[in-house]
This record gives sequence, C-alpha cells and structure tokens, in this order.
Amino acid sequence: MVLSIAAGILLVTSISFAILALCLRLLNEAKTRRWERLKKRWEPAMLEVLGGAAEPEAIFDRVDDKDAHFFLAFLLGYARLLRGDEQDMVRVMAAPYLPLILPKLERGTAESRGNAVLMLARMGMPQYADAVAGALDDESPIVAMIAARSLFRPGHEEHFPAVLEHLARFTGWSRSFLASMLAGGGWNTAPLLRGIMRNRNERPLVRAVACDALRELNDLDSVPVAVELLVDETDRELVAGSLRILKQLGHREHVSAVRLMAASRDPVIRATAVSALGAIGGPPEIPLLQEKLDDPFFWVSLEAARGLLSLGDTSTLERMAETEGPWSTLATQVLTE
Amino acid sequence: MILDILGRLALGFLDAFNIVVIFYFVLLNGTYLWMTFLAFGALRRYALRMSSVDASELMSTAGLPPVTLIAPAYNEEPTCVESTRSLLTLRYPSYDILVINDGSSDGTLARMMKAFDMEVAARAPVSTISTAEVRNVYRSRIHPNLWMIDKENGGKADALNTGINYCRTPLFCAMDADSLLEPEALTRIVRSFLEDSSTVAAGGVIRIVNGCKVRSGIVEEVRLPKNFLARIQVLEYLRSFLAGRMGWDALDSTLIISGAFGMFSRSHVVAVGGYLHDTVGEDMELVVRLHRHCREQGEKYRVAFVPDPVAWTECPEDTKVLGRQRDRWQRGLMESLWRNRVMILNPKYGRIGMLAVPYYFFLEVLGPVIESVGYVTFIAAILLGRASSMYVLAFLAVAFALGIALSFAAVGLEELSFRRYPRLRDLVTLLFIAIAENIGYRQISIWWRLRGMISKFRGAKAWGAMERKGFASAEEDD
Repeated sequence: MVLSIAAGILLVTSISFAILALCLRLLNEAKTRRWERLKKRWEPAMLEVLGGAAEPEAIFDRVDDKDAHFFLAFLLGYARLLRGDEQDMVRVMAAPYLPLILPKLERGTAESRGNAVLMLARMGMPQYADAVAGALDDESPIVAMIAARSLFRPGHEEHFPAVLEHLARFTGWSRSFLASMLAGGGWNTAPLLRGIMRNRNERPLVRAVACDALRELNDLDSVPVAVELLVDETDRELVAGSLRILKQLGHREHVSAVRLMAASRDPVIRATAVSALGAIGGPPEIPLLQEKLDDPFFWVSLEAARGLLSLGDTSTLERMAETEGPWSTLATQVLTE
Repeated sequence: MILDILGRLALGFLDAFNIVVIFYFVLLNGTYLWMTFLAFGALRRYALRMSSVDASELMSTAGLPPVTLIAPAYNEEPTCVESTRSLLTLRYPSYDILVINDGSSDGTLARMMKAFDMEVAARAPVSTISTAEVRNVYRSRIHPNLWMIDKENGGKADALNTGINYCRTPLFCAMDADSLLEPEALTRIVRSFLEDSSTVAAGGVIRIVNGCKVRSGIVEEVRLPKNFLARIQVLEYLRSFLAGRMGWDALDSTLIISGAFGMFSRSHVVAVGGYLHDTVGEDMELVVRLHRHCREQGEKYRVAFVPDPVAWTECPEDTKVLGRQRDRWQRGLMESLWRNRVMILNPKYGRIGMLAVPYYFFLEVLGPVIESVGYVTFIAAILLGRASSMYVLAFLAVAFALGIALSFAAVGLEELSFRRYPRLRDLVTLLFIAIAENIGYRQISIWWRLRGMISKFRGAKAWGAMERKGFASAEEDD
C-alpha cells in the first residue's frame, strides 16, 4: 500500500518535472522572443542617438515601465562596449531607470546584488558612487569584488583609499588578478600602493599585490622601496615581488642587493633573483649565473641560462648544448627562444 | 533437520537481503534527489553570477594566468587534426598546447606534422615524474604555441605525466585529444582559480558531440544524435554533470574531474607525483589523492566543478564499445577508492572522508552487486511466498518512477541553465529517452558495471579500444 502510494507520488512528480522542463522551454522561448522584439524596437533609436541624429531622450518613449529592467540590461551591453561620449550617452539613457534597481542592493541573492552593483557602476557613476562603495562591505565577497573592480578605475580616484582599505578581504583571489585590478587604477594610485608596500602592519600578501601592481605601472619610485624590503623582509611573496620590480625597473646599482638574494635558501626567491640579475646585471654577474646553472631547482637553472643569453654569454650555452648532459636541451631551448 | 535449518537460513538471508536492497535504494536515490535539489539552487546562482561578470570582461584583464593544454593522443588519426584546430581557436591570451603522441601505431604523428608544419625543437622538462622515454619534441612553424611530444607508448596517465614534465605554466589543462573545447572554455574554467587562489583543480562539463554539426573544430549546431545508445548517453551526462557533480560541488565535495577536461595546479600535481600509471581510473584517482594530500598537509584548498566550460566528446554508439567503457569506469572507480581506502569514514578527511568517498564506495561501487542480486532475491521472494508479487511490482514501479523523475529533473536543470539543445523536438526526445532507458538499458548497464567488478578482481588492466568515427562536419551535413 505504502509502495503504491509512493509510486503514485513519484509518477506525479515525474510528470511534474517533465511539464516543468517543457514549461521552462516555452517560458525561455517566450522570453527570448520578447527580448528580440524589444531589441528590434530599441536598437534603431539607440543607433540614431549614438550617431548624433537624435537626443538620448528620444528613446524614452519606446520604453514601457514594465520593460525597464530589460532596457537596463540592453544598455549594459552597450555600456560595456562603448567609451567616451558614446558611453556618456548610454548613461543619460539609463539615468531615469537606475533608481529602480537601488532596492536590489539591499535584498535578494548575492548574484542579483552583484548585478545591480554592476549596472550602477557602469551606468550610474558618479551619482551612485556611494551606493557602489557601500557594496564593498557587502557580506558576499563576489559583490564586494564587483564593487572594487568598478571603483578602481581612472576617474574614481576618491574611492581608491576605500577599496585599498578592503584589499585584505580579497586576498583569496589570485594575486595576479588583484595586481591587474589595482594597476587598472592608473598612475594616481601609485603613491597609495607604495604606502601599502611600506606598511609593516599590512598583511604580506597585500603588500606583495601592491608590489606587482606597481611593477605593472612601471613605477620608478617603487624601486627604492623594493630595495628596502629586500633588506628588511623575509616573506617569500613580498621578497619575490620586490625582486620582480628590480628586474623590470632596477639598474646596475641594485645588483648587489639582488646578488644577496640569489644565495637564498628559498628556491622561488633564488630563481627570481637570478632572473633579475640577468636583466639588470652585467659581465661581473656571468660567473655567478654560470654557477647557478647547476642549481638543483630547475627554474633557477632556466633563469640562469636566460640571464647568460641576455648578458651575451652564448658560448657557455653553446658548449652546454653540445654536451650529452641533462642541461643540453635546456641550453638549446634558451638559445632558440 | 539440517536441511530445515539451511532452508530457514536461506529464507532469513533472502528477507535480510531484500531489506538491504530497499535500504540501498532509499539511500542511493535519496542522495540523487538531494544532489538534484542542491544543483538546482547552485545552477541558478551560477547563471546569475555569470551575468554579473562576463567572460569577455575577464578576458580584458591582464591577470589571466598562462596555461598549458595537455592532450594525450594514442591512435587518434581520424580526429587529432580537427581537435587540435579547435584548441587553436580558444579565446585565451596566453596558452601552450602540448599534444603527446603516446607511441601511436597509426598515422597520428605524420598527420599532425603535416597539418601543422612541425619541426624538431628543444624544450627542457621542468619536473621529473617518471615516464616512458621521450623520442622527440616538435613545434609548429605556423602556430608557435603548438608543441608535440613524441614518446614511447606508456598509457594515458604516462602521457599526461610527460605533459606535466614539460609544462612551464602554473596551471595545466588535462584533456582527451579527441575532445573539442568551446572557445571560452579556458576563460571560464580558469575563473575558479582567479576567484579562489586556494583552488587546486577544477572540472568542466563534458557533452556528447555525436549528432552535432562541427565546422573547423567548433560545434556550430547542437543536436541530439540519431543513435539510440548515444541519445541515452546524452541524458546520462546531463544527469551526471548538471545534477550529480553540481550537487557535490555545492557541498564542496567534488571527487571526480573527467579526464576529458579538467584544470589543475601544476605544483600540486607534481607534489603528489602526477597520475598513477597502473590504474584505468587515473583521473578520479588523482583528484582523490589531491584531496588526501591537501588534507594531510593541513592545506586550505578547493576542488571545484564549473558547469559552463564545455568539452565536446564522441561517445560510443554500439553496446560492445559502450560496455567496455563502463567496465573500465567501474574498475577505475574501484581502484581509486581502494588505493585511498584510508579516507573512508575517516573524520581526518572532513566531508570528503565522511561523505563523498563513502557515497562512492558503498553506493556506486557496491550498487551493481546489490541491484543485480536484488532482482534475483525479489523473484525468489515471490516464488517462495516471502513477498507478494504486488509488493515487488509496486517496488519496481517506485524504482522506475524515481529513475524517470531524476532524469526529467536533469532535463529541467538543462532548461533552467544552459539550454544547449535548441530544438523542441530534441527536448521532447530526451523526455522519452528518460522513460525508455529504464527498460533494458538500465539492466544492461548494471551488468557492465558488474562485469567491471569481476574483471577488476581478475586483475584486468586493459582500457578497451574506442573506435573513432571523426566529427561530422557542417560541410558534410550541408
């Protein structure tokens, strides 16, 4: 009896799932058709506005209240693609509808809050800058990250300190991703980043991210800070970040500090230092690099070989390439790179 | 007297086993249902999340790490060029492709060399996982990021390990040489590594390419295959990836990353010694071992499943080849779990040890035995009058209805999320397949898995050949 009831319930459940799948399909198709219809209605007017043939306000008559969210999603696609005056026009067109999504910042799932932050950041700045900055404290890391990425762009310098204050929240993200985001802020961010790099009370990972961002910005003023860090710090990421700055922006006078690091017991620091020596060193560094070819850590050997090539010592590599030893392929590879 | 005792014992066993079957059934299907509900929420959240940060925006950042694609190829002559072309169309700023020719006896090497104008090149290995001898390294003159490593045959795991030895990037993507990756697949899968730097591995979705229109290595039109077996496999993959793996990921307990498409942190895989050679389930075994390693080291880590990066793969269309594949999967599952049996119900390994590994061990490994013996004991119970035929029929009806419900739910999940099959006809066909597969296919499938167990105990190591037809091109169909 119980089983029969269970079978009956499951049968009904199965049929419900099948109907649900079909309804979803019909619903999605209807949604797609509606979306296509709206796009057809808005696109010509949009192109006229962007082409300067009409004022942005001309499109408002074509947007019904019930389609406001669709319209914002439609505009967001353009806001992502356009720059300059054309992007400003998109902002004007979005302005009357953006207040509708403000309540979304306070409720709903993290994803819908994130979407609302994105729309405000792309089409509502600077009017909604405070609302976007407020999202830095959102309980969801993804919402906070969307806000941070939106605010850390040239033109929003006043919000940089707020984003940097929240940087420790994002240390779970990839370091290169964070560094790239910070470098996206442009030159004006460099003094702030140098401050973080120097700040001993800050987490080493955050300071290392600042190092990488400054390197991406080619900030020459970060070079002396990097040299200081080589003397004072022991954290692997921070030291390696400083070495990478010296590799890219340093010169002969920094070689002595880097040489010390080439003797580090940490293979990552050793490899980064050897790589920097190849970039900023000169003929006096050739014997050290030749010695480092025999390092037990492959990456140190590889960087030493690359360093020898960039310092013009091809004869060592050619000799190695002709041997039968394990470094023959490495030398040939570097010679043909 | 003795006969009487034996008879009573047999009847007792029969009753007890039938209870075991019911218990197993409730537990297994309860887990499936739980996973489906978890997947429902997770997929909905994921779709919304995708609309917040799109792939092209991510592409524009300079923070995407370089990656290496490792594609082992053994006798892949019909598909290797097209698959490699698909890899070259990927939208990703910096990646190397390493095709590992694992001692193919057909024209794989020659075809690749001709198609991509390859020449001998120097490339030093960066790690020293033990592998079969490498004969030569080639590089394409047309595509400088395309490399081919020609080596002695050593099996798929050995070929992957060779690729890892030659991988210079922090992340590598392990895949089958006959899989087609979608252009955005790398960007999408790498997101999990960007968003959580503790990610050590991430798996994408595998979909069936049979029946689809393919042009220049890109799937242009998604259609259901015409072959009945292939259609069933489409449904199986939907169930497995959208409901199963998504559900397990919601519990942060992903234990399987398909060998056809997964991304890994190179340093972690090197730290655990790479793929094991002597198992046919090297993909699952590696993931279980990564969990074990990170837990034992007390390292914060994550193994993720990402539902939208897609790899398209050809599936078997005849029962013989499909049977061999399922046989191998069952052996692989058993080997992976047996080698890491220390994790089973061991609280030291957290929810992996207490939930995911026991689920696979008790329900997926032992499932075929319980289910097949269950059919026999139920019939015996009817014949011996220990259970009414109505009771057994009702039980079977429940089992079938539940199977159908889970399949319908998986089709619903597809409609909710990615809607890859645009034709209504295909959707309706999938719903019919969900009913049809319960009669015949489900039972044969149990037999294949049971056979896998038997071959495992007999010490079988063979992979079983998969005959490739090559991808049907759009030109052919046009």
